[in-house]
Amino acid sequence: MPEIAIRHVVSASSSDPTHCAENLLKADTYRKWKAAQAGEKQVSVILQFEKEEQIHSIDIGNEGSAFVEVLVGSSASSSEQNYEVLLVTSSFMSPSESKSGTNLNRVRMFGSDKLVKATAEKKWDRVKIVCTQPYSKSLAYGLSFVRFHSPPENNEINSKTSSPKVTKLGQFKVKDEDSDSASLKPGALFFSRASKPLVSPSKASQNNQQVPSYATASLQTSMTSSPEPAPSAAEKPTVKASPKEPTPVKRKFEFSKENTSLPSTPKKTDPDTPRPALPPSKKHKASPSAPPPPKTPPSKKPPQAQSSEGSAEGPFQHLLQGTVFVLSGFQNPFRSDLRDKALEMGAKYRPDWTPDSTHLICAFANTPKYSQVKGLGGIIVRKEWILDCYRTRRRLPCKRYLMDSPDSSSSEEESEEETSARHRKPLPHRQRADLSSSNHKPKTPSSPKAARPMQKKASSGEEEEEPGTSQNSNIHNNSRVPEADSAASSDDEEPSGFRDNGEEGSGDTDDELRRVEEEHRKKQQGGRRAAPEPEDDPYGGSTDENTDVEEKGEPDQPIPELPGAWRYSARPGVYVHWEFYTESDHCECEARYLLLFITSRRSWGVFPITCFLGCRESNWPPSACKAEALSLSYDPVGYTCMIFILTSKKQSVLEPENFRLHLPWGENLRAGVVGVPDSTLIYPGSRLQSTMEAQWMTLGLSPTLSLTHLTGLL
Amino acid sequence: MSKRKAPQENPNEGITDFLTELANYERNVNRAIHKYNAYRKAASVISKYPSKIKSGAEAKKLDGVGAKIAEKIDEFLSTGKLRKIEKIRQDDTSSSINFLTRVSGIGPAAARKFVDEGIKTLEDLKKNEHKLNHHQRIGLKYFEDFEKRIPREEMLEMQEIVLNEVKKVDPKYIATVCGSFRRGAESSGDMDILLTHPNFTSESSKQPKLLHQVVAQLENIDFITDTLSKGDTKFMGVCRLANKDEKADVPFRRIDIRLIPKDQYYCGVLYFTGSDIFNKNMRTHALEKGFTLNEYTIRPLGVTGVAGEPLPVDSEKDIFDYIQWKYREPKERSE
Repeated sequence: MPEIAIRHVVSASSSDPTHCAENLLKADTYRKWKAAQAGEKQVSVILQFEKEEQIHSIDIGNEGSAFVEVLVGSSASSSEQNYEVLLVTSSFMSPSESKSGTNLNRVRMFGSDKLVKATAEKKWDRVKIVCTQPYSKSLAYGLSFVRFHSPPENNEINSKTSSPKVTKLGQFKVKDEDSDSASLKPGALFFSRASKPLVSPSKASQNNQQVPSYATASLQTSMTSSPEPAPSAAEKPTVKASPKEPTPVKRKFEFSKENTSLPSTPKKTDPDTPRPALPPSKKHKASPSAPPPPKTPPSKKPPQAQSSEGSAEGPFQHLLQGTVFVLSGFQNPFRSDLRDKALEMGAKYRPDWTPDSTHLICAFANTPKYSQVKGLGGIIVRKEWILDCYRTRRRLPCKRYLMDSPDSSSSEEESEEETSARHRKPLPHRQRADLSSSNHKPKTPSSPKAARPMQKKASSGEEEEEPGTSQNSNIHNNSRVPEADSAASSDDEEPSGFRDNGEEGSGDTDDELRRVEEEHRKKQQGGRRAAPEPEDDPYGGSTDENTDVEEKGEPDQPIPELPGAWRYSARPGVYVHWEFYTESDHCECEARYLLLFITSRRSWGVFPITCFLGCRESNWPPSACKAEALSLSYDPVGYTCMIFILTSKKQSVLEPENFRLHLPWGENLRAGVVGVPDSTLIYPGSRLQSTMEAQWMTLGLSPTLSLTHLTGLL
Repeated sequence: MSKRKAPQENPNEGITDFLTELANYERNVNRAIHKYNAYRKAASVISKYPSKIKSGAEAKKLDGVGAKIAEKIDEFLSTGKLRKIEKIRQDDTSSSINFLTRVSGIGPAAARKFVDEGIKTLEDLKKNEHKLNHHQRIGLKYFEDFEKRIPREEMLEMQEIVLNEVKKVDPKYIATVCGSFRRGAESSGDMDILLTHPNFTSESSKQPKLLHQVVAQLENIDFITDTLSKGDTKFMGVCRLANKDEKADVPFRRIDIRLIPKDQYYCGVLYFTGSDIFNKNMRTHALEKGFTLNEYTIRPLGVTGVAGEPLPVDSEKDIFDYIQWKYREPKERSE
C-alpha cells in the first residue's frame, strides 16, 4: 500500500511558527503541526498531493485534537466549498482526556472500510483536515502526522502496513508481522517469529468500545507465530528488514523543530561542558549497585555503549551532536534524505544560516548561502561529509570535505575545535583516571588536538583489546556490560558508531574516557552541575522530539524502576544488536517469565523489525526460552511496542544475565526487561517509562489478568 | 412511553390542563405533532411557574408561550373556559378519536380509522374484536387497568423483581428502568426497561436470545402475563405483581423491555429517561455544540454537516461531557 506523497501545504487556518503545518509533510519525522494559539475552536489544513490519487487508508497521529475530520477535494475546482467528506469526524480524545491533557497522541488507522465509500472510490489531489478541540482552552492542538495510502497493488496485498490487518487491543493495535520477517533471522540462538495476518482486521481503527480481548488477541498471535531456525550470522539479516516500505525513510525523528527553535538547548551548553554523551548515569544510580559477575558472551561483542547500563544513549544518534547545519543547493528528495541522515546522527538543522549554525552542507560553490556563510566564516562542507559519517558511523573530521579547499588545515582546526571542545575539560581527568584505574592510559590525549588523532587510530581495534579495562572501571553499576559491549563492537561497524557519541572518531578509548569523565564529574562537579544536560540523558537525542514526553513534562527519563520486578537496563542500539542485562536486587526471585519490551517511535509496520532474542545464561538457556513477540502499535504517536515473553521450563532463580536482541533497526528504540515471578503480577501501575506506563494501562493488564493471559501465549 | 402523562400539581393547573388537552387533540385528531409539541412546551414552562398567572401577557414572557397561547390563557382566565376546548369536546369525532387512542395499541391513525367506521366506544370495540389486532385486543382487555397509573411503590417492587431475575439469568446484564419513574415520578404509566449485555454491541450480530431468555424467565415466575409483541430487540407485554392478599385484584401493567447494544445503551437510557422535552432541549444544545444526538448515538458534525462516527459512550455523563453540559441527575430532567 504505497504512501501518497504530499507535495505541499496549500493553507492552514492556524499554524504555530515552530510546529508549522509543513511538518505534516514529513510524517516519519514526527514533527507536529499545532495551532498558533491555545483554545482555537477549530483548525484546518489543506494539503496538496503530487497527483490525483485514490485514498485507501489513512493513518492519523493526533496532537491534542478531540475530533478529526478529513475531506477531499480537487485543486481543479477552485471553490473552497467543494470538499467532500472522506473520513467522518472521528474521535481522538474524550472530553475528560482533553481536559486533563492525557492521551494527546492517540494514533488511529482508518482502513478503507472506515472511509466514506463513494468518496474513497474517486481520485483526489487535495485533502483538508479539520481538527477540533472544544474541551480545552489551554491546548494548542493539531496533528502529529498524517499518512495517506493508495490502494494496495496486488502483490502488496499482504504487506504489513495495511491497516486492515491490525487488531485493536485496547488502545493497541496488534499488527501481524510480515511473513518475510522469517528471512531476517539472525543468530541461531534466537527465535524469530513469523505470523500471519490476524483476524478481525477491520476493527483496528475502531473506537475503544469493543475490542477483542487481550487474551484473544494474544492467542491469535501466538497461534500464528512459529519458531524458526535461525541463521547463524546475526548481524547480516538486519539489512533486509528495512526496505519493504517505500515510504519511510530510515530516519529518525530526533530532531524536532522544537529543538531547533529553542536556542537554549544543548547546543550552547556543549562547548563548555564536558561531553554529555557520556553514559552517565545519574539517573541510573538508583539501579543496582552490586553488579554480578559479568557474563560475556564469548563470540559476541556488544557495542560498547552498552557498557554502562545506564547509558541508554545511542551514540550514533549523537554522532553529530553539536552540529547545526544548513543545506544549500540540494533538491528533494535527496535534500531531505541528507538532512534526515544528519538529523539522525544528532545534528540540528536550520533552514537558513543562523548565528548558532556550524556547518553549511553545500552542493556546489556558488549558491547564495555559500557566499553568505563564507563571508561569515562558517564551515562549508560537501555532502559526503554527512554521507560518510553516516556510512561509517563515526564522526569524521570535516576537513577533508571542505568545500573550497579540501586539504586546508585551517578548516580542520575549526572542526576540531568544535568537536573537541567538549573534551578539553575532561581530558586531564581522564588521563588521571586512566592511569590510575587501568590498563590503558596511553591513548588519552593531553590536549584536545592531540587526543583526537589518537582516538581515531585507536578506534575499533583497540576496543577489543580493552575489555578488561572496562571491567575494572566499575564506575558504573553495570561494569560487566561494558565488557560485553566492547567485545561486540568488533563485529561490525556499529560499535564504533556507538562510542563516537559526538566525538569524532574516538575509538575504544572513549569508553574509558567516559568513565573517567563521569568519575571526574562526580568528583569535581558533583552537584554543581546544573540540571543534567540534555545530552546526558541516555535518551536525550531521541526523546527530544518526542512530543508526548515533552508535553507531559517527563522528558527523557530513563526507565524507572519497576516495583516487584527486576531491574533492567536498556539502551538503544543501532542496527545489529543490543544486549539487555537484567540484574536485580532480587536475584533470589524465582521467575518463569521474562517480559521484554521494546518501543520505538517508528511503527513496526513501516519498518519491519524482527527481534531475535536469546538468553545466554544457564538459567535461561536458549533452549529453555521461547520468545514470543507481540507487536503492538499503540498510542501515543508512532510508538510501537513489541513485547517478548520468555519462559523458562522451570522456575529458576533469575540471575543477572543478558539477553541479546538483534534488531535490524535499533535507533530510537528503548527496551527493558522485566522479570515476572510466578507470584508477581505485572500490574498496570508498574512504573515503566512514562510512555510505557500509559501503554500498560491501556493494555488493560489487570493484576489478575496479566499472567494468565501472558502465559496463554506460551 | 405511557400514553398518560402524570398530572402535575401547580398553581396554574387549569391552564396546563387545557394546554395538555389541546396538545393531545392536535396530536391525536389533527396529527399535528408540532402543534402538540408547542402546547406541551407551553404547558411545561407554565407548570414550573411559581405563582399564579394573572394574564396572558404575563405568561407570554415565558419561553414557549406565544401570542396565540397567551390569548387562550386570557380567555381561560376571564371566562373560566375555552371555546376551542368546548368545541373539541363537543365534536363527536374528535372526542372519540381522543378516547380510542387511550387503548393500548390504538394510535391516532387507527383511532381515526375506527371512528370513520363508526367504532367510537369500548363497546363498539368489543363488538368488533375481529377488527383488532392482538395488541389492541390485549389493550382492550386490560383497558381499565392500563388507565391506572402505577404508584412509585409498586414500581419499586416491580423493579426489584425484574432486576433480580435478570441477574439470575446472567449477572452481566445491565438493566435500567427508565421513563418518568427514573426521574423520580410518584407514579408511572408503564414500565420501561432497557437491557444490555456486554456481548451485544452494534457491531455484533443480533442476539435475540439475550432478550428472550429474560422474558422467559419473567414469564416463568408469572410476572409477565401477556405478550403484545416480541421482536429481536423489543418486547412489549403485560405484567402483574403477585397477589399478596386475596382481597384486591392487582392491576395488570404494561411493560416494555428493550435490548440495546452496549455501545448505544447510555444514549438509549438518556432518551428513554426523558422527559421528552428535556430530550429536545438537550438535542438542540447538542446541535449548537456541533453534535447530533439520538437514542442510539452521539456523533460529532463535520464542517459540511456530515455526522461523524459514533462517539464512545460509557455513561450518561459522557454524553453531557461531549456537549459540555453539566450533568443532570434524572430527577432534574423534567425539561
